[in-house]
Amino acid sequence: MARAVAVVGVGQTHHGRRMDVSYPDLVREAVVRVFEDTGLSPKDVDGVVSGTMPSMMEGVALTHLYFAEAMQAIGKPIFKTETCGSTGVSIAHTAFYWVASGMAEVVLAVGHEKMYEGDSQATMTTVLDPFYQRYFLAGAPGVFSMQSQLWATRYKLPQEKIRDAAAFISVTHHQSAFYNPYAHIKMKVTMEDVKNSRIIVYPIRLLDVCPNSDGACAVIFASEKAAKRLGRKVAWVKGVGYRGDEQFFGDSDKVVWQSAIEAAKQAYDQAGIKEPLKELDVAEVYNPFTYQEMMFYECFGFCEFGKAPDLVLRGTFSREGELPVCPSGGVLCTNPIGATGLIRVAEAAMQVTGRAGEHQVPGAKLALAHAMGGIDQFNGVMILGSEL
Amino acid sequence: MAREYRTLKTEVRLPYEVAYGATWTRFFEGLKEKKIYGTRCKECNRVLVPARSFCPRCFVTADEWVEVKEEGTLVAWCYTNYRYFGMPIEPPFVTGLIRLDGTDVNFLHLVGGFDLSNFEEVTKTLKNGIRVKAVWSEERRGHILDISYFEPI
Amino acid sequence: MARKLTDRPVWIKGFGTSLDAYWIGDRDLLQGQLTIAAKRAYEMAGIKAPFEEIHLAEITEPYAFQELLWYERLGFCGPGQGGKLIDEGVTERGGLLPVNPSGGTLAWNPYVSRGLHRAVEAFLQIREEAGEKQVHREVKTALVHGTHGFAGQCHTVVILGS
Repeated sequence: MARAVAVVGVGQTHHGRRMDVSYPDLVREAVVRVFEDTGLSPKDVDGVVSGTMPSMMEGVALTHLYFAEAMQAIGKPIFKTETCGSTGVSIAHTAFYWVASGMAEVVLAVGHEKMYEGDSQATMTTVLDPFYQRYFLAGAPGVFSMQSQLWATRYKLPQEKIRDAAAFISVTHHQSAFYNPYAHIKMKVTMEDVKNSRIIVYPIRLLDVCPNSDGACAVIFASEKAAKRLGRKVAWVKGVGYRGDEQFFGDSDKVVWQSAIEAAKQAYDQAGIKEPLKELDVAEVYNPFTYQEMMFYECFGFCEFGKAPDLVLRGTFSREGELPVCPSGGVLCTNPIGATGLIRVAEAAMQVTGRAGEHQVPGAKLALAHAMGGIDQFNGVMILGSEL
Repeated sequence: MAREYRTLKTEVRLPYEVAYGATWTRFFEGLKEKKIYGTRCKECNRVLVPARSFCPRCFVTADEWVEVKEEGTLVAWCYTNYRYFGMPIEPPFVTGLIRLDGTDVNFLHLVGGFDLSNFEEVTKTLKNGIRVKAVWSEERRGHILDISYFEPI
Repeated sequence: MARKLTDRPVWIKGFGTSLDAYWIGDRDLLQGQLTIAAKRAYEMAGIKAPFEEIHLAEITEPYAFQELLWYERLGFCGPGQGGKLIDEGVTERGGLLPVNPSGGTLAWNPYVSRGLHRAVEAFLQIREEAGEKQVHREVKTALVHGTHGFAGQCHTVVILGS
């Protein structure tokens, strides 16, 4: 790996319906907060990395131009990185590589989305070619329904068991969101509520699915020298990994899912992690769909393939379990897509520096952040740790 | 709740004319003739459908054309019963991944040809692993929906 | 790795990029960010006198007047002097500092890849593989420029050298 890089501070907006602010002001809210968090100011920043969903989401293209002021990027070098849902992790990677290469000491990464201003599902249809896949994959939940059915068939998992495990996950995350001041959906749900909620595409129900959220997240990456000057605990980037699958959904195996497995493997190798379930203290996994979340546990090596539902039901991934997943409430409760992956990184950083407030996992030292992009196509992982 | 201010209702409508290129053109013309074309990669020997101009894994030009069987095995399916932007047909409908005989990748299309109004009943007919066969539309224009759907056989 | 792949690598000697304000009325449209972007690239490449040390430039100029303005911002000449470089034939194929022997963006403008084309053209010139476009002088150091955003809101400069 190149030279050491740390996340020295984070800033998030209060995610949710934010028709109280214009889009630039939403972005500024997160940027102001990361400067407050770190005590740094715009003049300390050597470069800015920006990313968001395709321009159709809010109807403004190339938003890094629009937000030059809000991100305090005027007169600074800027990079734009967009990988659909995994944008947040991709901009974290870009900022990391920039500092790691030695070409910058302090880099600001900003991800954002204002989903209430557009039609997110209609926007997602444009992530597909107009001749073939757009007809069949346009309604996103259907894809995840098929993916989870492929998994259930392959490992002969009884529908009731997966249904219970998915509901358990939904209950866990909805509970966790109450302890996260920035989370969007704060709703008490029970297993019965989940299992009786409106069906979207079988077996996925309303409470198995993420919301549309407005929100922004800002994270500052810094070199060892710059980090040490701040005199506070920082989160060191221990490993990164990113992989993509073929463009056609039918061309790859989405159960033993190569892009997820290899992205995690590269990050683990760099971080020296051999037994993720034991060694990780927190996993901020990208989890807009409860069913798919379990498949990520398996691809990331938290358990064997086909075994995730059992571990879920035993509480392995709950707040007090062996590996708490998304103590922030996760994507299931908060999903401003362009920011979401970066929020995973921010939450992981907060956990290993003891700054996660009410949703702190006690003694957390090593955390995984992850995001997926496209229609089940890309996966990005970043490991953060409290020790250099 | 925080105070909200004015909003602007606006729309972006943009026209496009998208090129098919040689491979897509031949594939879609094939649908007009009730043929489903795939291409075989010389290096990995996989048959890919829809026909490709290149093999995604070997990155070589895939120019051996194969007329693929219109029958196959249902690999995964999902039932949609709500309207949304870009839906292929009026709901309820079923989208499926189908492994057409003699091919090495899964083909996306609709599954139908029977009463889809009750989900419980649908699950009695549709199970992963059943055989399905293409049903062609009377009028074909070189469009993916020249195949109306695949029906269980 | 580069030396394993070719015996004539072309090195990236300098890189600089800079973003201007979004609100066009807030910007100095003549000064802009190009000078800053170029300065970052020149410092990294150790260039102190651009006009003397750069042998060829591939500039992104969707509008002809921008090329003249950008000669000035890149430090090839003083403010308002861009036209003189044209009058004196300095930037022609046979001149002291050929600019856009490829025809530049005015000849061909695929918006997103156009900056990369500039880099490819400069690379070919350095390796003397530009065929009919090859300039007469030896090119050891080339400047590559790209821009996007209205009236050059964002500029990027790369210095390539043998």
